[in-house]
Amino acid sequence: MTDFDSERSKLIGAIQLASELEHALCCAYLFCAHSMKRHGDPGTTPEQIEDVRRWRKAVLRIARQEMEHLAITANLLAATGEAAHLKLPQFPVRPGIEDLDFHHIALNRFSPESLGEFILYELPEKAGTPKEQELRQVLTDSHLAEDKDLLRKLNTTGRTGIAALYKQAIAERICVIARSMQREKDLFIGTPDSQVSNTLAFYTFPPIDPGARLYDVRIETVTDQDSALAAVEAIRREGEGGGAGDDTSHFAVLSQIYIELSRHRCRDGDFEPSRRVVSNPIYLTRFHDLRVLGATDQFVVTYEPAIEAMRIYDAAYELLLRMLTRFFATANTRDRQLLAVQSVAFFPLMTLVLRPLGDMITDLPAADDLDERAGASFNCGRGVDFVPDSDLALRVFASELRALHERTRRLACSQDLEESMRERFEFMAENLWRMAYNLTEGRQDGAT
Amino acid sequence: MSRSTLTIRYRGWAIVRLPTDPDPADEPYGVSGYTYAYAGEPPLDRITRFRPAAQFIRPGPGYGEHERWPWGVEVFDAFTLANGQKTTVTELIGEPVDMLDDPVLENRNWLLTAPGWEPFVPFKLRIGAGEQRIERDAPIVKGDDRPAWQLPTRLLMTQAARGVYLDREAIGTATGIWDAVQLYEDRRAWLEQAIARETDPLKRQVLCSRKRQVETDLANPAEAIGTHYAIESFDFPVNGDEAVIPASGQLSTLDRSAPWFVSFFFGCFDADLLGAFVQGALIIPFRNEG
Repeated sequence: MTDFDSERSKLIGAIQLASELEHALCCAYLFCAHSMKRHGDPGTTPEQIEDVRRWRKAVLRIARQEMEHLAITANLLAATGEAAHLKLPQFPVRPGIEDLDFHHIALNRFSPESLGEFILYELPEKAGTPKEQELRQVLTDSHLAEDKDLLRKLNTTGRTGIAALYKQAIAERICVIARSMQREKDLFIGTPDSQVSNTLAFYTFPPIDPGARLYDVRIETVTDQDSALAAVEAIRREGEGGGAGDDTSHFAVLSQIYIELSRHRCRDGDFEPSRRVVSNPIYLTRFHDLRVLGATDQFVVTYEPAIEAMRIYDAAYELLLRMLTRFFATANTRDRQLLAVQSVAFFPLMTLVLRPLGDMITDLPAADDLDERAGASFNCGRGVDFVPDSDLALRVFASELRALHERTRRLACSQDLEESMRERFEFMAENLWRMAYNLTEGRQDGAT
Repeated sequence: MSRSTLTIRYRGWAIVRLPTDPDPADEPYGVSGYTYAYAGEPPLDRITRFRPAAQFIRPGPGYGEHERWPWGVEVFDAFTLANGQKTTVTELIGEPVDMLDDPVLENRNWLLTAPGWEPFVPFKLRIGAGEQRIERDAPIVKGDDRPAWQLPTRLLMTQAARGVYLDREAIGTATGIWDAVQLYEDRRAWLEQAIARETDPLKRQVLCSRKRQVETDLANPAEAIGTHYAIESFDFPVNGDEAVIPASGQLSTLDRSAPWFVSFFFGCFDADLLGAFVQGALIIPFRNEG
């Protein structure tokens, strides 16, 4: 193996690792957002609930940008001739990565502790940004135990997290291959057509401005060394920020939420901003992936309607990943089948199924006679395989959607559920039917 | 010889409690978009209300000649055309105009149609009230009982808006609002004064939340404030089987079986008040006598 081959192999491994971490983080943020209280939840004042909604909006924005980061890593891989890496690790994720300092990534409800963990993930490489100083001051002045705990962690945690992975294992290695070895053209062998941009992900008429952000997302494309480094820099800047005055980075936004939450809790020690959702929820089935049974830090949900809602969520999420795998693998075709997948995967499946279902699962108890609530488990036990034939893929995906439609419709009939929830499940069932229709016969009828 | 027709022109402000992308279409309170239901308010429900009940109306400033925001859609012009002769129908002017049976702009996060190309479902228009009312629905496909979410997109689009586009001139002419940023600046000032006056903690909290959102919108005017100038235009036949016309008088000779036509625009979306302006015309032929 030449030095080039060896360095390239390490680079690909690092990008795949970054993909898995971004993916896991995205799910952790989604889980956290699903757990946050909304209007009508007991134990909060209207003022508190409005702040929680504002924080929830921010956490969901960060989750969308983690999806964007995942898409950018897919573009980095495509630029090197590799496939998108959409594997989702089992939760809780415990990365054992030499030289990098990662906390485990878990599915936890919104709380000072989980917020603190997110802040540590997004910690800037360089200490002392204005927002970090402000956060440290608040933690220092606070009498709350959780604030002292976060301050201790801030003082002891190394700054070699995901930002360091991008810098050391990806950006610097790209420079080594492209500049020191003069092998840029051998590294970036993918075609520009294989890149996924906002224009393709949010394909609509009239087309959007390719450079514009849409829903806080801009998917950078990669064709050479410069664009690869720019893409990595865009990810890093969104996560840890670009220095003084940058209040939109994940680190700055999460720190600001933490500061506001700390102030609330100093005034009202009983303030709980989230529902009591169990951590790392799972459910058991006869044919379940054995990895689940061996994991720790998990809560086995036993309330049947919650289990069925979780199963539907996981099946829909798994289907989404299969569709995205095909989408990224065939992005260069720009054909009818690709646009059909795009018209279902990005908007309606995420917005009309996963987002509301993730919220609704937290309405359900985790077990009979238990106050704790269930949550999405993000368990993709069957993996993310590639359906090779384009026409058959649409039929396979449509079949899966129809199966989900049937299951959701049955759940909508459950007398264990409140009327308002049954109505939402019925609405979801309608939409799943329509997605299947759009993928197959609807294509002839002018559907998007 | 052309047929005689009645033209009823209507306009006014409607309430549209609609979650906005990327929130799910059935998001009850609003999170990621720019429309919200606040504490003590009914959830967002997507329904367009031409004659909104008090519970759906947020306190707001007056506008133009009105002490309060002029909610409600009504007839502002009505006339017959016969042999080129135009005659005003005064008894219809000022009559209420309503869309019945909880109509929604049926798009569902781009699932049924592309954004801006969605129909109102169901579409059933009523003008006036009681025995003298005029009323008719417009099924997307006559005799087809399938719900809208099962209909092919090409059929949905027969009653859909013809895309969404910005038209400052049309909005300005119709509403008198030419500067949306100034409108939001004025709204912020009004909310500040209202907050200072309000003593009820819950109502005060809602006003504070609205003011915060208006300030967010002002900081990023391309999104919520930009939709102020957006218009969706509709034009389609109204041909339901159950047309209702006045039992007596001149309008009792309107044709209940021939297609009627409706043409209207919907726009000037106010993300704070959850309102939108509508202006349109319903054109009804008279029966051919002899």
